[in-house]
Amino acid sequence: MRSYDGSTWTASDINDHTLQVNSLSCASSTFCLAFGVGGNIDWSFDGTKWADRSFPEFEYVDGVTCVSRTFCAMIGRKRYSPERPAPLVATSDGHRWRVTILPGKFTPSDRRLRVGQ
Amino acid sequence: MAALVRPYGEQTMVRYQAGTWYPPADSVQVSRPRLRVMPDRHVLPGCERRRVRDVRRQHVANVAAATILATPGFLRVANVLRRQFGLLVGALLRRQHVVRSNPDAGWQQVSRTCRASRPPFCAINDDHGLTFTYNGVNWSAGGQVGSSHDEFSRPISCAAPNHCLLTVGELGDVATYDGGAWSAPEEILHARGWLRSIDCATQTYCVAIDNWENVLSYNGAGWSGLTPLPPSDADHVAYGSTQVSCASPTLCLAVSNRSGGVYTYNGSDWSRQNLNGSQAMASLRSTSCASTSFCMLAVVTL
Repeated sequence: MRSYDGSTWTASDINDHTLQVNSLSCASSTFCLAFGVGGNIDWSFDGTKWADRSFPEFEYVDGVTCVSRTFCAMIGRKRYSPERPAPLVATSDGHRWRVTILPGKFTPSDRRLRVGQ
Repeated sequence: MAALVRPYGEQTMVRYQAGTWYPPADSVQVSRPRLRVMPDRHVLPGCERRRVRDVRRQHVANVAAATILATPGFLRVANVLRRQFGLLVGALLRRQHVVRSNPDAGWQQVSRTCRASRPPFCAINDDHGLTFTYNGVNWSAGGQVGSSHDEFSRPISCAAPNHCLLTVGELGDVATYDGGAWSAPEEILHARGWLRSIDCATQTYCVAIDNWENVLSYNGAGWSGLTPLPPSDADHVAYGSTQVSCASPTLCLAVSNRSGGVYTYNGSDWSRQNLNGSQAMASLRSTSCASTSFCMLAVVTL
C-alpha cells in the first residue's frame, strides 16, 4: 500500500512486487493506473494515494491506457517464456479485467504489442 | 548476476497540477536501469555500438537466468511466501523480478491509444506491423501497416474512433486510421529518423517527437515544426525512451530518458522543467496528462 500526505509519497510494498513503473496512464486527477515490469500488480491512484492490487493474469505488461475510471486497456503477455508467449489484451470496467487473446496471425514467438506511443 | 540486482535508486511519482510540480518523495528502491538495444543501431557511433553489444550479452544472460528461475507459479508462490516470511523471501522476489524484467521495458509506453467514446475505442499494433482495434466489445484485426519484419511495435495514438495516427518504419512515416482502414504510410515533414512518440490531444492537434528529439505538430491537415527540444544541462545521457503526452494544444509534457529532461509545452514554447525537490534523475519512465492541470510522471531518481 502507498499513501500520500500532501507532499510525500510513501510506498511500502511496491519495491517487493514491481521494481520499475513501465506503464502509466491517468484518466483524471483522481484516477491513474501504473504497472511495473513485473506486471502482476497494478497500482491505482485515487487523487491522494496509490494502492496496489493483485493482477495475476499477466506476468508482463507492455502498456496501459485509461480513458475513464470505468475503462482501461492493457497489453501484455501471460508468461515470459518462448513456449507460451500468449500476447493478451485486457479491458477493465473499473471492477474487473477481461482478458482476451488477440486474433490474428500470431505465431509462437516473443512478440510484443504496444499500447500507444 | 549480483551486479544486476544491486539496489540503485529510488522510484518516484512526480505530479504536475495546476501549474506546480509537486516534489517526488517515494522511497521505492529499484535496480540500476539497464541499457536497451536501440532500433536505430545502424546510426550509432562505434562506442555506442559496443554498448549495444554489451546490452545484448546482458540480455542473453538475463534470458538464461529467467529460464532457470521463472518456473511456473514461482512469482505467485514467492508473493505468498514473502507475506509470510518477510524480507528474506522479498529479496528473492526482487531478484526474480530483476532477472525477468524485459530489457526493452520503456519502449512500450502509454498514450491515448484508447478514446472515451461510447463505446470506448482502442487501436494497437504489434511488432510485426499488425494492427487491432477494439469497438467496446471485441478486438479485431485491422490489417497490416508497414513491414511485417519490423522489430518493434510503433507509436500510435487515437484522438477519436475515426482518427488514429500510427508511426511506421524508420523514416518518420505516419499512417492514418479513418475509422475503417489505415492509409498508406506517408512521410511527414522532415522527420529525422523514426518517430519515438506521438500523442493526439484532439483530431486537430497531435505532437510527435523524432529520433533526434525534434518536435513536430499536426493541425488536422498537415505537419509542421521540427522544433528541437531545449538542450538539457543534465550530465545524464542514456539510451531509452522519449515520450510525449498532450492534454490539449496548450499543455504537453515530454520526457526524455536520453537527455534526462522533462519538458512542457504551453501552446507556444517548449521549456525544460526543473522538478522541485527532485534528485538527479536516473531514468524517466512514463508520463500521462489527463487534463490541462494534471500530469503524472514516473521517474527513477538516483
